[in-house]
Order: sequence, then structure tokens, then C-alpha cells
Amino acid sequence: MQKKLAASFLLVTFLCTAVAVAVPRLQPDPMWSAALVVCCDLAIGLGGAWLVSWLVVRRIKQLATAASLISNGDLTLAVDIEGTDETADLARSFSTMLVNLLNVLIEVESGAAQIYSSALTLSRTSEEVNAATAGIAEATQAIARGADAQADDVSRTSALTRDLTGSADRVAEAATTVQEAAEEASLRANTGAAAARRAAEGIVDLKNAVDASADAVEGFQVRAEEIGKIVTFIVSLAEQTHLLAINATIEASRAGDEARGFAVVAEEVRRLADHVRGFADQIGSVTDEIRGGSHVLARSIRESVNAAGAARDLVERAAASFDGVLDATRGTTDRSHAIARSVDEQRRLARQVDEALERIVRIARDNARGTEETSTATSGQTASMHALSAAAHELARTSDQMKSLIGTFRLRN
Amino acid sequence: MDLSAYLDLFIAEAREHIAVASGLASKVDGRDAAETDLRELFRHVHSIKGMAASMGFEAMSSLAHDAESLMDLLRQGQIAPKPATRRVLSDALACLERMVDRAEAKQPVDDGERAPLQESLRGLLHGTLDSEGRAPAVDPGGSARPVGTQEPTAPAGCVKLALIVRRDRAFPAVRAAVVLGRLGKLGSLLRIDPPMAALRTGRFDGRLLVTLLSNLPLRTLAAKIAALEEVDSFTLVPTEAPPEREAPQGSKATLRVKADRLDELIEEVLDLMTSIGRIDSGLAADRQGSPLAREAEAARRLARRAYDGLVDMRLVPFEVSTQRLRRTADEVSRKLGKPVTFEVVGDDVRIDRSLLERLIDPLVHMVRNAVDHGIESPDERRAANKPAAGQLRIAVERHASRLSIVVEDDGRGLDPRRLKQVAIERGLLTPLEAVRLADADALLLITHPGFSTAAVMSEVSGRGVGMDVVKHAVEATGGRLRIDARPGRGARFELALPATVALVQAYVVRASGVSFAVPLAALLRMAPMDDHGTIWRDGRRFSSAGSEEIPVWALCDVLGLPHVRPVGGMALITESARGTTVGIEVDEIVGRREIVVRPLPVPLSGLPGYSGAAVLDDGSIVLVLDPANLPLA
Amino acid sequence: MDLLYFQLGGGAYAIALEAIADVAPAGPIYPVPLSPPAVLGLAERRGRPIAVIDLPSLLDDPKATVRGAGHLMRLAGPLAGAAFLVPAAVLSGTGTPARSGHVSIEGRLHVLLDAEALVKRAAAFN
Repeated sequence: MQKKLAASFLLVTFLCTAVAVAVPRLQPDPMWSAALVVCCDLAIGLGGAWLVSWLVVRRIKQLATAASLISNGDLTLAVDIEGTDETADLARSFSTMLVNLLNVLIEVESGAAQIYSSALTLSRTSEEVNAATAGIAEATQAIARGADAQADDVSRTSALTRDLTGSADRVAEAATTVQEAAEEASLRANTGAAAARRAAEGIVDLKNAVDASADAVEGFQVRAEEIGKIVTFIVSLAEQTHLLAINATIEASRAGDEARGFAVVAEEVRRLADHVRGFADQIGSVTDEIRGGSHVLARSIRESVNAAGAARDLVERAAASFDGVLDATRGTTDRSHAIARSVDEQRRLARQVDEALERIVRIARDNARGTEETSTATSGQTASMHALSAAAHELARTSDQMKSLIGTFRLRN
Repeated sequence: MDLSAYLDLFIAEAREHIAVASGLASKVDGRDAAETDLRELFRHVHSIKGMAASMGFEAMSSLAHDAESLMDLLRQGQIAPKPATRRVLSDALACLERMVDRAEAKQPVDDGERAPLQESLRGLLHGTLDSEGRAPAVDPGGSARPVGTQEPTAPAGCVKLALIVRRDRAFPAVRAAVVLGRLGKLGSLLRIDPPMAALRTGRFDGRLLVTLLSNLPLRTLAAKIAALEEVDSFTLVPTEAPPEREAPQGSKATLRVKADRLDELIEEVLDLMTSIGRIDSGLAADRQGSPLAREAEAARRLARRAYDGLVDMRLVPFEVSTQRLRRTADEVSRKLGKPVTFEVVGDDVRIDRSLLERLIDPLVHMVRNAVDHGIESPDERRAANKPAAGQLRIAVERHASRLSIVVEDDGRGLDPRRLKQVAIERGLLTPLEAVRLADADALLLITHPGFSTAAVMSEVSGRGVGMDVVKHAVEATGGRLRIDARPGRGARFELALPATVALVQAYVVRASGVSFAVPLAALLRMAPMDDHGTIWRDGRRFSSAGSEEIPVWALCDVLGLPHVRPVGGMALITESARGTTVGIEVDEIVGRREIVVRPLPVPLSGLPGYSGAAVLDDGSIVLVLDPANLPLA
Repeated sequence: MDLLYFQLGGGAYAIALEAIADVAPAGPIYPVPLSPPAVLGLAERRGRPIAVIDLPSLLDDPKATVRGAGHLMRLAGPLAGAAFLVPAAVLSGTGTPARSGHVSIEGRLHVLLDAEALVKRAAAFN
């Protein structure tokens, strides 16, 4: 380059001189010579400048264009270099640099492409694995959900059973309470009854004494009644005999004279029967009197008996009411015993149910846990897969970026 | 000697002899005048003569004596029976009967007809004498030998018959009895070995030895015996007749029993059955099948057999009254100059004698009426294109437990319109009622007491003479009178009677809490009166059982008893008095029983609707309904 | 004459012994629908039904009633099958005819009952 410049320069100088010399010769006007010389010098200078610039700029322009192209990314420019000047060297270095850069970028480009494709592959694979894992995960989740549901049901049933047991317990409790209350009432009643009985016994003694005399009278009365019965029987016999005698008389009257004697006998029988009837009636009325009399006697005795009896009745009634309470409580006690028993039974059963349910729950939960673990495992797997996948995606994106970056450079025609 | 005690016996026996003799006498001129019949007739007349003589009834015994003499010649075959013979004998027997009636009424016995009758008898007797110039040799003990030589068609006379009865059939003893019965129709059984009593116990080894007196020719006899189905084989040998017994009993050992005594015995057996029923029902409550219960059952069966046997003794064939009816017809026919053909069909039907006794007068009445008022004069008949002789027919029929006696003639019949007219004239009907009266019911007008008066005896009202009595008599036996008449063509009077009087099958039913009995014979059928079987029309109920609608009355309503349950019980379908079908509704049917129906005692005896009362095994009393005569509204 | 006699209401009545078959306590009486009012119904006697006539109602004495069950006086002869309901206290004895329709028994006047007439009245519906 320098030579060129020197050359240019010399040229210019020469020319200038040549002009300087030549012109005044031509032109003798000093002014016009000077002008001309100036003009010629100017021209030559401009020309020389131009020439120098051309010489320099030409190469620099080339380089500048090249550099501009490169800056635009197009790395496919091939710079023609001729000359040996410094600009040419510059151009040649520039070109070498360009070529080197180009190579590097091409390599980078292919490397990026490879990365991209493997990243893609990796991404795809991870997605597949992901999908599979997702499937497993879903299944296990379903199992887990089912197991959960089962567990829920069992829990619910178990809860119900517990409720039941709870209520049975409550009932049993209530029954026990009742029982206790009953027993207490029973106890109280017993005490009361005992007291009443003692009182009654006292009255009984009194009554027994009175009864003895009443019995005597009653015995008398009973005998009188027996007599009365016999009398009634005799009267009935007498009536039948009377009727028989009447009918015998009728028959006898039919039989004619021979039966006259029989008729007389029948008549006698009838009279006898009527007499018997008469006597029986008398006995009856006497017995009635006796009964009436004994009635009076008995009545007065009985009145005193009644008084004692009334007292005793009252006591008896008290005792009876205690007994009644006793019975009631006994009854209640019995009933509450029965309830307690049945409640115990119920409870036992409920417990059995509960245990059974618990077993089921356990099994269900085991199931669920098992599935959960599977689920977890698969979810773990899935997570790693996700991470992998994410990393793969990242990678792919980065390589993509790189690729697009490189893509701004024109590396080929 | 006071014979008055024996008068009843004499009357009874004389009547019986006369009745049988009359029956035989009517066959005297017939083609089949069996010699046995002639001899029996002789014996009966002979008995009458003897009894009358011992009772001191000279007139009777004299008449009987002449009749006996005639019969003697007849039975010996020394004279032949003539139409006049039959007539004279019948008349003589009728006369004897009248004399017996008078004796019973303690009136002078002699009868106006006696003298001419004895003339005729002697005439017949001596007529024989005159033509042959021989005095009849009265040979009381003569054996039967016909005049003339033995011919193939001559009667077989006395034969000894050895029979083998088939043993391959059931009840050989019964079959033997049947054979004997059939043999009895061929002649007189003089001897039977083994005797009937043995046969009745069922003991029978298959061999029968019979001495038979028959006037059938030997060959005919043999043929007839061979034709007997029950007979396996037999031998027939003519033999000497056993000596005759002169006792009034004849060749069959019989016993005379007062009918009243028989009735009493039957009543006692019925009481026995009632009593056994009480025992049985009392036992049934405790233990059925116990030895005591079995004995009671056996006792019941025995009592039943005794009852059946006794009731059987009370049965007589209608034939015993045929004579009287025939004589009545003949008398009236002769008196009025109207020839009448009198026919009796089914006179072998056996009827309870007390029932027959109650019906004989009504029947005589009806026969008299028929000839008197029913049958027209010969001229009238010719003008009406009828045969000259009037037809009068009595038909006796037995269906199960119902008996039917029909008196039928082909005379002028009854015109309902004329009857209604007469009724209006007599003031028995208003014209309005007459118009509304159905023809069938109009015919029953003649049974109205006021219908026929002796004063005005037209041919129409004359028919009603005594018919009210007839109707009552019939209904008193539990029967019904039905009249059917076609004007100008004749009249038909039917007596529909219950055959058994006492022991009947009946249904015990309940209505309004009261028990009643309804005889099976009165029932047509039963129909439930549930919603399905009841039809309502105009507020009246009908049973829709069967093809017709039958009006139903509730027994409670008919008897004025309170309803204890809503309607819907059982309807008993029966025939009403007018012949229509009606239903009587009861609350329930308790069951079927065999009951002894006793007539309702005196103050209740006229009540319609009941045929009596019965005492059940438990001692309770049920009224026995007569559904046909219930007063249906 | 031989008689059976009894008291009824305010009066004394007698009936000829020969008109009576027997006397027995009254058992159940089964009424007969549509029968005359004086006939109480049917009773059982020796296995047969007899008609029970309400005698007091035929006597024109309003005070005449049979207290308790009474007896049945069964009639004899043609009226057999009918029985009068009478008080239980029936006596037999002899009496002499007194003024019309009466007999005197031991000094006391009794109305003599005509069985036939009574039965006939009982059969009437009025």
C-alpha cells in the first residue's frame, strides 16, 4: 500500500511540478500561469487524492462492504484480494479472519443442531415416559381413590357401629340407671313392707281373738245352713211324692173298683207327703229363725271383727301397696335386668361388628396405602420424569435460541 | 150271656170276611174263577154264618146260610157260575154288610132286602136242582175234584213241588221268598218247607218243598215254574190234597188282631224308638263306639225292624175297598138307569189301613157323585158321540212316599164358568172375584161348603155334594185334592196323599232361632239365597236357581217371627197348594233326621202349615211343616 | 166325685179326676207360631208332644197366674194330647156338687172346670 501511496504521491508531485514548469512556459502571464498552475495543481492534486483514495479506499471499501455484510450476518462473502500492499494484507487477514469465523460458526451451527435434535429426542422420550407414568399414576390414584372410598365407607360404617355401640351403651347405661333406681325403690319398699307387716301381725293377734268367737258363731251358722239344705231336699222329695200320689190316684180311678184300695193308699201317701212337707217347712222356719238370730249375734261380733278387720285391712292395704311397689320394682328390676342383658348382648354384637369393620378398614387402608405407595412411587417417578422433561425442554429451548442466533449469520450461499 | 163285649170283635171280623168275600164274589163269573177262590168264598160266608148265629143275629145267619149253600155247590163244581150268580152274591154280601153296620149302631139288624135276596139265592140253588133233579150233596170236607174226566187242560190240583233255588246270587233266602210269592199267584200254597219264618232269618239251604193247590193245567204250571228266574231246577208231582181244616182260618195260618191294638203297638214302638234315640244321643255325647253306644244302635235297628214289620201289617191292598166302590157304582147306575163301566186299576197297591179307612167314605162319595151327576144319560151320551156306557175309573198309584188315587169319569165334566155363576148365585163370590178367579181355582169351588145344597141340585152343584167333607178328609191325612175337568169330556179328581204317616225323613231347619222339620217328600230341592241366587223384582224376592224364577217367602215372615239374621239363607223349593212352585227361606239347614211325626194335639189340630210335631233325640220338639199349606201372603 | 183341685189367683178350682191322665212338672215349652194365644206351645211328655194350654188366661181372673214353672195337667180321653198349665200345688180329694158349676170340697166352694169347653176356647183365636 505504501508504495502505492508513495507512487501516487510521487506522481502527484511530478505532475505538479511538471505543471509548474510547464505552464509558466506556456503561459507567460504570470497570473494566468499561476492560476493555471494552481488549477493544474489542484487538478493534479485532486486527481492524486482521488487516486490515493481510490487506491486505499477501494480496498477499505471492499473491506467495509465485507464487514458490513458480515455484520449483517452473511458470512459467505469471499473477498478478492490482489495486491500486496498493506491494504491487501489487511484484506487478506480480514478474509482469513472471516473464513475462520465462518468455520467456527458452521461448527457451532452443526453442534447446535445436534444438541437440538438430541434435546428433541430426549424431550420426546421423557414425554413418553411421562405419559406412561401418568397412566400408572392415574391407575394408582384410582386405586387409591377407591381404597379411600372403601376406607371411607368402612369408616362410616365403623362410625355408625360405634354410634350404635355408643347408643347401646347409652341404653345399657340408662337401663343400669333404672335398675339401680328400681333396686333402691325395692329396698325402700321392703323396709316399708316389713314395717307394715309388723303392724299387721299385731292386729292379726287382736283379730284372731275376735275371730275365734266369730268362728264359733259362724260354725253354728254353717250348721244351720246345712240343715236348711237338707230341709230343701226334703221339701223337694215331699213335692215329688205328692205328685206321685196324685198320679197314682188318677191311675187308680181308671183301674176301677179293684184299685179302690190302692187309691186309698195313694191318698195316704199323699197326706203323708204333705205332712212331711209341713214339718219340713216348720224346721225350715225354725232354722231361719236360728239363722236370723245367729245372724244378729254374728252381726254384732262381726261388727267388732269388722272394726279390727277394717284396721287390718288398712294395714293390709298399706302392705299390699308396698308389695305392689315391690312387685313393680321387681318387675322393673326384672325388666331392667332384661334390658341390661339385652343391651349387653347388643353391645357385644356391636363390638363384634365393630371389630369386623375395623378389620375391613384396616385391610382397606392397607390396600389404600399400598396403592398410595405405588402411587407415590409412580408420582416420584413422574416427578423425576417431569424434571427430566423440564430439563430437556430447557435444553431444547437453549439450543433453539442458539440456532436462531446462528441463523442470523449467512453461512452458505 | 152278655155278648156285648164280643160285639166289637164280631163287627171287625164280620166286616173283614165280607170285604174279602166281596172281592172274591166279583170274580165269580169271570173266566179265571179259580177254584181256590170259590172255596175261600165259601169259607168266608160260612164263617159269617157261624159268627152271626153265635151272636144271635138270626137274620144275618139265615141269609149267610143260603149264600153258603150256594157257594158250596159252586165250589164243588156242581153248578156253574152265571152272571146272575155274581150279582146275587154281591148283593147278599152288601146286605150282610148293612146288617153289620146296624148291629154296630145297636139298631135292629134285619134288612128289607134280605127276603128277596134269599129268594134269589134259593132260586139259583134250586134252579140247579130243578134241571138236574138231584139234591145237592153238601160235602163239607170234600176234596176238590172237578166234574168230568181229567183233561190236559184240567186243573193240576194238588201238586208237590221240590225246588232248587239258585244259590249263586245274593240273598238266596230273599229270593226263595220271592219264589214263594210268585208261586202263590199260581195257586194256593198249602205247605211250605222251610217255613217263611225260617226264611226271614236268612237260613236257607236252597231247597224248597212246597205243596201247591192250583187249577192251572199241569203243563202250564210246569212251564210257569220253569220260567221263574230264581228257580234252578224243580220236580212236580201230583199228590193228594191234605185234609181240609174247617177252622175259619183257612189254609194259611193267620191271626186276627184288632186294628186298634196294632195301632197302639205301632205307637209304642215309635215311643220305643224315640226313647232309644234319646239314649243314643245322650251316649253320643260321651263316647261313640263304646259298647253301650253300639248296643243302643243295635236296639234302634231292632226297634226299626219291629216298626217296619208292624207298619207292614197295617198295609192292606186297595182291593179291600174296591168292592164297596164297585157296589156303589152299580147301585147308582142301576137306580138311575145309566150303564157304567167301572174299572179299578192298581188295586194291588198296598195302603196303610187307617189311611184307607179315612178315605173310603170320600171315595164312595166321589163315585156316587160321578155316576149321579157326572155321567150323562145314555141319550145324552149318544148325542155327544160317546159310548153308551159311561166310563168310571179309579187308578191307584204309589210313587216313592206319595200315594195317588184318581177318580176319573168321561161324563159331562165341569165348566168353570158355570161354577162361577153358581158361586155368585150362592153368594160365595162377588162378580169381581169371580172374574179374577183362575179356572183351575174355580174347579175347587165345588168343595166349598155352601156350594151344593140339597134343596137345589142342579147337575153342576150336585157334583159338589159332600165334596167339602171329602176335601177335609183328604187334607186331614196330609194329602191334597186336585180337580181337573174338561167341560163335556169328563172330570178327574186326584187325591195326592203322603203314603207313610208316621216315620219320615226330614230336614231340620232353623228360622228365627226356632227349629222346624220339613219332610223330604215335600221338598223338590233346595237353593241358596245368596246374592248370586236371588233376584229382586217389585220388592219381592225370587230364587234364580234352575231355569225358572221361583218366588220366595221367608219362613220368619210367614210365621210372624222376628228376623234374627239378614236374608240370605237357604230356600226350600216346594209345591204350593195351587200346584205352583214356591220357595220357603230358612236361616240354616241343621241336618237330616228320621223323625216320628205326631199330629198336633187337639187345640192346634186345625192349624194350616203344620203336618204335626216331632220329638228329636235330644228331647226338644220341632214343628213339622207342611210347606204346601203354609199361609203365604 | 173324685176331683183334683188347686188355688189360682183369688179362686179355687177343681176338675174331675177322670178327665185327667196325669200331672207332671212342666218342662220346656216350645211356642207354635200362628197358634191361638191361649196355647202356650208344645211340651214333651213320654216322647210325644202335648199342647200346653194357658189355663189361667181362660179363667177371667186377672190375678190368676202360675208362679214358677207350674205343672202340666194332661187331659185324658178324646182330649188327650192337651194339657193345662196349673200351679204346682195340686191336691186330690172328693167333693160334692154344689150350686151350678161348683163343687164343695171340705166345705169350700170350688169352680168346677169343664175340660172340653176350655180346650175349645183355647183353640179359638179371639
